[in-house]
Amino acid sequence: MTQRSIPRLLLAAAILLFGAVARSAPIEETLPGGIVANADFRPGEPGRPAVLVLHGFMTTHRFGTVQTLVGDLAAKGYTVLAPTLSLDIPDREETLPCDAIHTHRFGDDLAELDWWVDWLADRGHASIVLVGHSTGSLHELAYVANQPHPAVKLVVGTSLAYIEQLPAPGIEAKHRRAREKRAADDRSLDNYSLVFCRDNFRAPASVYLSYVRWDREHLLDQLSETRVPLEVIMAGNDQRFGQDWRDALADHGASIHVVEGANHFFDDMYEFELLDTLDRCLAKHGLD
Amino acid sequence: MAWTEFLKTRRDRRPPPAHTYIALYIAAGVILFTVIAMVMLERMHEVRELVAREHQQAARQEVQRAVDHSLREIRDYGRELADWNEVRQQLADPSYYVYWREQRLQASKKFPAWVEAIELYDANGNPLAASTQRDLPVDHVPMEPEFLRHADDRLELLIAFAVERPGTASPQGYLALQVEFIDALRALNRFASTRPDSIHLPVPDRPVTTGRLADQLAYEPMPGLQGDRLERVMLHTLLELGALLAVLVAVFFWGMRRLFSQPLVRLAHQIEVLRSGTEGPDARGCQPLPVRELETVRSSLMDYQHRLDRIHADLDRKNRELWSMAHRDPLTEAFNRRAFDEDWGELQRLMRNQRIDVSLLLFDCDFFKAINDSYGHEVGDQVIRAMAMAIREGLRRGDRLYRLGGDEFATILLNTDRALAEKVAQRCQECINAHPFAELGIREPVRSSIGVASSRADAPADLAALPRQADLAMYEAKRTRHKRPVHYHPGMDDDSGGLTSTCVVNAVLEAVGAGPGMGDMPVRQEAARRYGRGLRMHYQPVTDTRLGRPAYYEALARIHCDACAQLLRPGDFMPVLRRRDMEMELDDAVIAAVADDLASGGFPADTGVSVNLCAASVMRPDLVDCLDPLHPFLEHFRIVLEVTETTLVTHMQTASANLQALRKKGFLVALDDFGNGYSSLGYLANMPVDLVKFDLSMTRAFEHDPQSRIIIRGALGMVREAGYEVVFEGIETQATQRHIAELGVYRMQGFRFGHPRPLEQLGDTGERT
Repeated sequence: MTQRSIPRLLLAAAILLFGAVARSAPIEETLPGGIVANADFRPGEPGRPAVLVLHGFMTTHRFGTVQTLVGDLAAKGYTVLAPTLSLDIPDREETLPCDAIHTHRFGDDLAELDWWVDWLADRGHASIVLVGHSTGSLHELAYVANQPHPAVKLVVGTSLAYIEQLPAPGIEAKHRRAREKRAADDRSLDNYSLVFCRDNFRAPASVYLSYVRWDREHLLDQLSETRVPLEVIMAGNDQRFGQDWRDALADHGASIHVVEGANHFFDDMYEFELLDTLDRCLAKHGLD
Repeated sequence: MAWTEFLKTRRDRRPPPAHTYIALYIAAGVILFTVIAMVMLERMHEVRELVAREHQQAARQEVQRAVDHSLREIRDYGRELADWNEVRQQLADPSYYVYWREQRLQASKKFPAWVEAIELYDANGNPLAASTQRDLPVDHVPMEPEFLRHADDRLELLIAFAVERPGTASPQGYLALQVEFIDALRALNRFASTRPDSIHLPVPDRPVTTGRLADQLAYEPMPGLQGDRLERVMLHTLLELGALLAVLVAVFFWGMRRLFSQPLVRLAHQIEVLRSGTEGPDARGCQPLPVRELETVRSSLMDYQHRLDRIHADLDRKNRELWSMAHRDPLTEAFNRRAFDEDWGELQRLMRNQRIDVSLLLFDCDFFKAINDSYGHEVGDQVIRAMAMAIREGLRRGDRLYRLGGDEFATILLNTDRALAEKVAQRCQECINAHPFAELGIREPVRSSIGVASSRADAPADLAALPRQADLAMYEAKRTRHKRPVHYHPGMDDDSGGLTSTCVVNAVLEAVGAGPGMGDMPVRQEAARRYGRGLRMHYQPVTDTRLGRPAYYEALARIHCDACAQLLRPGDFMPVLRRRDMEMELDDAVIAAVADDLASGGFPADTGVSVNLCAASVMRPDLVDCLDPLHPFLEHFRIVLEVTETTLVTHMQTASANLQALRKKGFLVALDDFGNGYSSLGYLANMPVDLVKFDLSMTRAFEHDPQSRIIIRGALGMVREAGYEVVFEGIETQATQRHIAELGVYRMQGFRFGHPRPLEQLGDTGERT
């Protein structure tokens, strides 16, 4: 970021904030399972692509990075939908703690994503761009790797993350027992380590395993299965997913954009770099 | 009692000491403090009661606010909890509800301690779990939104909240809470005026409702600073002030005692000491006082006391000097007669209880008067001092030396037996003999006579007789030629009649004159005439057998004692005179009497007279003047001066000078008692004499002892050869006269030729030629 760009960025931020507040529209929709889910929906200019922005692991659409993207895109005239995955909680409005009871499976998340893509398509959006943050990008990658809606034209994954398993002794034995419990349809709760939850992810074995399946290798394997263009925007100073991960993604054909100096959440002034990069990605695919 | 008498009694009564006033002031201060403290405590009690009432009111208001606040908090909590995602999750899928209720909810921060139980109910009011917690209902939720009940001293609040279903008006379910309201009240509020642990609900007499709950609760106000605590603080403060006051009082009392009371007591003590004079200055009185004014008084008092001490010391010194002047002899520094008398008296008193051996030594300087007259009073004084010094050398440490008068000294030896006393006396004698009196210009040896008398412890009666016995012994010593101390023995009493007979002594003293023994010659001779009333001169002829008549008469003194009506012979009165060294006075009286007889015209013509001179007279420097009364008669009478050979030998130089001078004047000198003294032939050639009188003993020896006859014949030859005239004494018989005459001696004296007779009887019959 240069010295000359700072005033311009400040002005853009002010516009984004004004636009986001002025036109934000929380919605609640009852999902097919009966669960009420909410989302931030901001209608855009007619004829422009709709952008679905998905939050990261167990957060909500109110998460800061998501709101930055939503506000920027809405201000630029895009129709933006930022759903909150219910995680089996009606009208979930809060980030679900690790030690809460987790009954939602990875596939359930994909189903809700699919439902919200359909929700956009049902409203006449022929071009839909999926923008995700962290595991939200993973959900979208998984979604487009499996039969995505035809209206989905582009996936932009920011801080694309796989389901990381923190190193722990006896992890293999724990996986084995989890698989055994899943096979036995044992729904009892156990504590697992998952992403940033350290041995306090309280869930049945089937839930845990549904997420664990999307590890580094599985994600890289799925890259080749994607039927939608994929742009990846990575933070240059991401402590969890660094250069090695970026190289691996590149090696598997991903188009990588790096915001140097930014952390996993693109905090501070790096969010503008993120937005610029996103703009370039959209423009690259003629979706601006 | 009359008022005046009371005031007089007050004035006469001794005022209390300073520390009493200090104690009174301190007691008054303590009483004042106590009164103030009591008044303050009373005021504090009133304030405390007022504050307690206000605090009770404040507590009531505070409890009311706390109840309202707690109900609001509980309701807000319930509503917030009912809106919690996980509550909706459980209502949507209660598969894990029990776990969620028992574990997840307890571990979350959504379950405060004052909540006893939480239960979820579905939209139909049925609990999600088969069993509910605590007293929460099993089947009838929704119940009353708020329900209070009192059981087992507990105030339970049951309250239910509807969980909204997203997107619809019908609830998704219900959430019920069970709260122990009193605990919640304490946990949700901070009490300033109420004791939280005192809040309770007495057994209610009517249903408990949230609207009137505050009125039904019982509680106690918080004991705050405004009430009991303030009183305690004040009491504490008073106690601290009291302790501080006690310390200050102690310090004040100590300081006042140190600064004022004790110094005043010391000053009073010093003044009392000065007033009574019973003890010396107190050492504490020399220490400076801490207060300037008191120090001024003390220093003035000390100065006054020091001046008094100096005056006392001066008085003591003068008293000592007076005592010394009264008891010391200024010439010799020896004790004087007064001291001797006092000591002797004290000794006699002490000896009544304690018996010890006592010896008394008397010292006397031989021929002191002659020395005094010969060399002057200054030399005489020096001799006395030297003699005292010599005697002290011979005495032991602690022996006192007394000068009894003139040249007479004494010492009292205590615890000293006879042998040791003699030893001491002998040592004194040796010291006197060894003293270099020649340095004083005295040509003759100075000798002393020492008499010793001892009293044994077992014979205390002897003590009173010691002075007399010592006197006799000293007289005996004076008579002996070999100078050594003489110890008293009873035989001396037989010879001392003259010494002890008062009438004899009086007669002798009256005869020779007890007046001045010194001074100008005319005065002395006038005194001799005045006092010599009892003196009677007798004359014995010294016959020249060739001429058949007396060549001259020897003047012999007799003293008439009127009291005892007898005529005293030399054997009677000479001891008295010698004891008193009055031989010169006798010579003066005799010279005067002889001169009077010669002048009377009754003395036979063509004869002469011989006068005996004592040794002291021979040595007196004014001997020539002394004989002035006889000078006018030298032209018509043969005047012979008889001196003993002992006198000549012991004082040869002085005696020779005097006698030579007299011989030039025309006096003849006769050596008396030749053969009874030293009889040293060596001296014989040089003696300034004209006559040699052979002693009576020589005459008798010549008569009866052939051996002595030979020697006497030889001595006579030598005397003749030397050119001296010879006189034989003791011629009493015709045969003796013939024998002596055969020796060629023609001058003889003795009863053969006449007894001593008064002048009036000279020329009477009876005198042989």
